[in-house]
Amino acid sequence: MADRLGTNEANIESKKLDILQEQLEFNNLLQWLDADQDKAAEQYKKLQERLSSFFQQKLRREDSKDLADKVFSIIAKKITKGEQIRTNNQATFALGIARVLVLEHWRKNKEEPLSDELLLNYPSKEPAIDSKLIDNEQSELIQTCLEHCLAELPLESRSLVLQYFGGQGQEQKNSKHREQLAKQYVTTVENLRLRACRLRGKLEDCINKQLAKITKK
Amino acid sequence: MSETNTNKRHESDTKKIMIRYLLGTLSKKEEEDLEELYFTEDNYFEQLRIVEIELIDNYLHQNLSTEDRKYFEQRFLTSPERYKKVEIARVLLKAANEAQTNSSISDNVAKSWRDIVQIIFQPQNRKLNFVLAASGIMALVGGSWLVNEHLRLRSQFKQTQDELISLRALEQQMAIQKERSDKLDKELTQERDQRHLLEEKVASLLSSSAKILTFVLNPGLVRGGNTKTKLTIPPNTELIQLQLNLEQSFEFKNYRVEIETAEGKKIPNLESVRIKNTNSGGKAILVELSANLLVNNDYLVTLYGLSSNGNGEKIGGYYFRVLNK
Repeated sequence: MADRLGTNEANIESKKLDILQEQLEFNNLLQWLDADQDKAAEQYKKLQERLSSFFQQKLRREDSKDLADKVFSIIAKKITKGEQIRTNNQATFALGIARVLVLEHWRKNKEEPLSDELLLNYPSKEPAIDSKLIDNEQSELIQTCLEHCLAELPLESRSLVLQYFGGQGQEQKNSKHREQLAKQYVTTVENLRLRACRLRGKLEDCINKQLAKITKK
Repeated sequence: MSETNTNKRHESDTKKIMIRYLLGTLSKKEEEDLEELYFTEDNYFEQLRIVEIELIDNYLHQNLSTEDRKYFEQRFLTSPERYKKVEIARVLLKAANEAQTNSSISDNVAKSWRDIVQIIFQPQNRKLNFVLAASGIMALVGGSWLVNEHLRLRSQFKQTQDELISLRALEQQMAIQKERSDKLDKELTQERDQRHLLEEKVASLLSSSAKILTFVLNPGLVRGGNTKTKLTIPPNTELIQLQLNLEQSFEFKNYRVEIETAEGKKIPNLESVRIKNTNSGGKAILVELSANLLVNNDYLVTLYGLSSNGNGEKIGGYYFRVLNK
């Protein structure tokens, strides 16, 4: 009993130390990103988005956010160890590490991007990802989340998103539709595009958060 | 004007490059340049996200060329995350199209009635007979009622739809609240378990820290013989209590105890010497000493009775051996 308690206590202590070490490394990372905490947090989020996009572009079937966290973890450890990081731009440094991770992944999995010749001349009939991954149930969930997230938007924004992305189809039709809408909103087509896409980005983030909550349950 | 055109051309070129990046058709060098740009420039990254949205929409609207469609499916649609993006876009575009269609129907109904009224009252049609006008007015009244009724129903429908959305949002919030509450309950239970464990541990530590061992010694056992009492003291013992049974009853007010090793080395600071009645009806002297004073060795205990004037009289001798400490 005493031995078991002792082992448990040692495990708890070891975990506590790990957590403390991670906290220290994370604080060092934030400090490295910016001396101002709020700016550092903003910088962290921005970098995470870019890393996530990068990994989505480069690797198949991998969780891009996990890989982004891996990049942060590597940098944090380097800083904590006191390694010299000779760069004026943290984003470029993070990109460098992300590239190394991609190369390692390709080497490990013997995976390379499909050549144009192979892709165009001998195309696979199936898309790279099995469409069954998203089933009807998932679509219904997305629908529910979309309704929830649309309801959270202010009325004007909701209306703009639905009008902008509704009634689209052929390129020519799209262009006419946007011009009309820009007139209605008394703005330029380009500004309208920016506003609508920003709102759509927010909607997608909201839907993903809702989906994650439901999946956790 | 020329500058605006140049900017537009530049934007269009950038967009094309971004599309090629997403479809995986840029050279390695071009890819690297673009990546550095979107990692370092906020606007560039935002543009890339917009281009990605439009690329997905064009795929769903079947606006991509056969070649680009292949690239999209083989090089863009390569992860579950991207597949989810496409599915979200599909659901959003469907919802937006439905909203647009509903809105168009409502606009068209209102517009068609306005057209009828305009036709009837156009100057060139004034010769239309009054019957037509009268029936037109009747139709207008009826039609207006129909339009109003339609708009009222639509408004009701919209309100119900909004209420449904709010209800779903409420349900979602309740689910989140419940999840939070469950999590808190779980944490509380874990906290309690942990506290209970700690309390047990503390109790165990307290009991072990106050560990006292009592050994009963009888007098007269021969020094150096095999019959001497053997004491095994566990490592966590702090205090040793020796119970020195008396052979007979003595009338001394106080007693003194001396303990020495086989080599004659005395143990100092013996305190708390007191008299105790034994279970067998006899008497015994209790003496307490710190466990760390005893090492693996043979010991001799000498008991003295102290008279009122302080003189000591030897009344008993006890032997023991400490083992395995």
